[in-house]
Amino acid sequence: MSAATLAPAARSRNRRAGFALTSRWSWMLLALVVAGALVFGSTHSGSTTRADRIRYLDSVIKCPVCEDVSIAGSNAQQARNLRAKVVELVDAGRTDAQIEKYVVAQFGTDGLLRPTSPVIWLLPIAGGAVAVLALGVALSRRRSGSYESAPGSEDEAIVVAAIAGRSRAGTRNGANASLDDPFGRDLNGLDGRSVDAGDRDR
Amino acid sequence: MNGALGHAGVILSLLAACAGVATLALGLATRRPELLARSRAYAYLMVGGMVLATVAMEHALLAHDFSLAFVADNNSRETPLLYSITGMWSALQGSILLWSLILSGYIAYAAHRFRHRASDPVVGWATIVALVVAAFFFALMLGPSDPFAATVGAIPHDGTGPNALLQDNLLIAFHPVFLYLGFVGFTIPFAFAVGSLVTGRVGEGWLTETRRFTLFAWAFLTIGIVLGAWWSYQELGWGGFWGWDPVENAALLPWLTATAYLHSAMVQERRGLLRVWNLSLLVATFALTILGTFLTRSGVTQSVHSFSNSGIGPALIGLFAAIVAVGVGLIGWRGDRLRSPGSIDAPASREGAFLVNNLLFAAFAAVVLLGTVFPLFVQAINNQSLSIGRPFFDAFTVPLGIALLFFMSVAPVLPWRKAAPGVLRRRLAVPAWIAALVLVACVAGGIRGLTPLLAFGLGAFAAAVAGRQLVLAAIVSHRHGYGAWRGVVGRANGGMVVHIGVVLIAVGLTAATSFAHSTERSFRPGETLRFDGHALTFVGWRQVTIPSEKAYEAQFRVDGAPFSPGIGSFNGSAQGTDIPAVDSSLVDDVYLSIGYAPASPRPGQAVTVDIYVQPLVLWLWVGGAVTAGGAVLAALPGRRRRPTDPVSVPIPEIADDLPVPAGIVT
Repeated sequence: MSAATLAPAARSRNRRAGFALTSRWSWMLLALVVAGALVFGSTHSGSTTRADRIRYLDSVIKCPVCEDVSIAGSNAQQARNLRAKVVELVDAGRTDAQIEKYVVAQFGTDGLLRPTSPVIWLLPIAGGAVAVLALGVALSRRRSGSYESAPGSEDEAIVVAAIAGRSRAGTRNGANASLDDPFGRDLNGLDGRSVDAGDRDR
Repeated sequence: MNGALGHAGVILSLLAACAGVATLALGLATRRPELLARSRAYAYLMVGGMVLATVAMEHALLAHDFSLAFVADNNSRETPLLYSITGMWSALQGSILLWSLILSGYIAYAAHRFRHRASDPVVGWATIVALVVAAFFFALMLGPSDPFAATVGAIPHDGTGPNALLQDNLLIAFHPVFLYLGFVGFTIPFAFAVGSLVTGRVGEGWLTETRRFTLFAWAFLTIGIVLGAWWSYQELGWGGFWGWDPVENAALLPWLTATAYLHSAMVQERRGLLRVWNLSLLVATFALTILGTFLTRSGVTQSVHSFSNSGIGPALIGLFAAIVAVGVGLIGWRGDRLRSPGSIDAPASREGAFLVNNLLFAAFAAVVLLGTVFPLFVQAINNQSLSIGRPFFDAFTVPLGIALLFFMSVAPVLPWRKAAPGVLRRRLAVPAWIAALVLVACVAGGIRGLTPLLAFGLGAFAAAVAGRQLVLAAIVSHRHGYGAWRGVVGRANGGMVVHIGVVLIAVGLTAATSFAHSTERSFRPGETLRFDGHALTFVGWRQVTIPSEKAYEAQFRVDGAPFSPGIGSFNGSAQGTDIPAVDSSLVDDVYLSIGYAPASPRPGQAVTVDIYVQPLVLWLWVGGAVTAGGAVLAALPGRRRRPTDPVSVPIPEIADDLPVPAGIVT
């Protein structure tokens, strides 16, 4: 797809052009191109190199004399020593897990920036699940129409009272009359911004 | 003298705030509008007191008046003029003074802005709330955090000077000020939210009235956060700009909820939906600014930002609890009136997309909050220390960020209420193909990894959609004879400029974190090494002495250009401070930081430097500037609509395809 074909295609919004970018076929082609590029791009990355491993480990191991900073993020002498140690262990053929175990043995669970407690990992997931469930329930309840049921006797009473009040006051121009709800509710607030927009002073 | 003046200013402000609250309360209770109108004078008086206190503090700093403990701790005779001025916010007590000054300014401006509506109970209640918050901070300055406390014992001949990190970079003059302008600015929308809840007038009026306050506070906070990242990048010497440090998180949290609010407020204005949600977001934003101050300033968390410890923690956490209690209580109490008049009709609509956007932002904020406070709870309950760092935050925020980029691409072209079939297909076709081409180009260019590819592709998608909206708005504007420039003015169009700025930040962030290279190398003088496409030559050592600092610079040439990272020693302290050197370009940054050097290097000695090469870092700061500019454009009014003009744009055939330009419809 070149720029030359894009320009007329952009004008095809009026649904007159022959091959349109907006057609279903075009979208399917697009999906194929995107999926192909993503799959190729994320799988043909080659094996993780020694530098990648060192970079990852440096970012996970906490600097022993700092607060919440990895050894990659600190220039303290202890952090520099630990970085050298990581290089040494990687070159000695240790796996990432073994090196992390070594750090935990040396400095305790606090030695890694990735929290080892499963609670902290489960909390956001559980919280997200609860939130999605609650939203689903709320939406389905709303859709089932409990809010938009037929007007009840109470609603009718409100209308009757409002009409009676207005005819007493002799208001003929209903649009400008203020709606005074006998129950003290702000009926004006119900239709968008009518009242509040009216009393803006700008 | 300075101490007495300062105390007088603070006391004046406190009295003015209390008198204002009393007057307003009396006026509201007895329904006397003239009392409500009179409260404005107290707001002005309060600003006067704060200006007096600030002048006293600055005078004390510039005159090196070490009879004040704060000056003795944060100033010395050698401190340069600029860092004497910024000394006011180099430590806790002065920061509270700056906070109070800004808060008084906002309150007085709001009182002036709404002077013709002073008799309105909503304005009255809002002013009471704002004054109570201000009085809290004035009281702090008279109690646990007194900036004008006298030096204990003999007055020293010279002070200790500011923290070394706080007197090396110009950004100290801007980053804290912008951050506070942002933090404090959310007080006004919060106050109006409380005012409308108390009076029961929960319509959409207060929302439009305080929209611009929220927008400016948001823009200031954005600038403050970006400047903070830039500062730590230039100053801290590890090549990074964001460390998920508790204090960085404290600034990010209100930004996230405020961003969610800016979007969902449009839904409420337009359709009257999401009222409880919007109020909750406002309360959360304001409460999080106070929580952030608590985290930063009370010493509960140790971080690079905690330049001071003090006993104001309980007071701040108390204020936080009070805000949450008042907010939740009022929303619960008014729940009946907050019920929406309708509901979201279809998920594929602008409001549906905004709802998803809000949920994503809320989830983002929840994860950041959890990661920030969880270690504190563990520490308090188990007395066990626990570190939560980048791996945890990245695991959750990267997918959320990707999802946000996707919705940022789709939401702007969705119509309100319900999208007709085919609308998305038509409007998104060109941006989607642009995104696909960018993606293919990235893969062809050798970029690998799912996260960066998604970020770049979706970034292109979002930017193309935003660009499309801007171009169409400019065309429509031009067609109506207003000039094409109106296509970038007004809320929707300014918002699209903000989107482009956010995309630039996202792309810079992804590139810099995914494709950084770093190494540690030793150089002898005259030696040249190559790293990641750059030639680095170590020229030699040079000693630089300026009054307050003694520094050694390692002189380098990077690709031929001179370049000098150094080690500074301030006020003769033994510990040297790294002064990294950064060579920025549009493509990548070369960042040098001295890793190891002899204590007093002689000309012929070698140096060990950490070299970081990070692509596209510069675009983070450019994106920040574009974002701030877009926010200003969004705050500018479009042309005032004549009441008789039609509200919707009558363009046949492709009417649903065109975003509304500023000036056609406000």
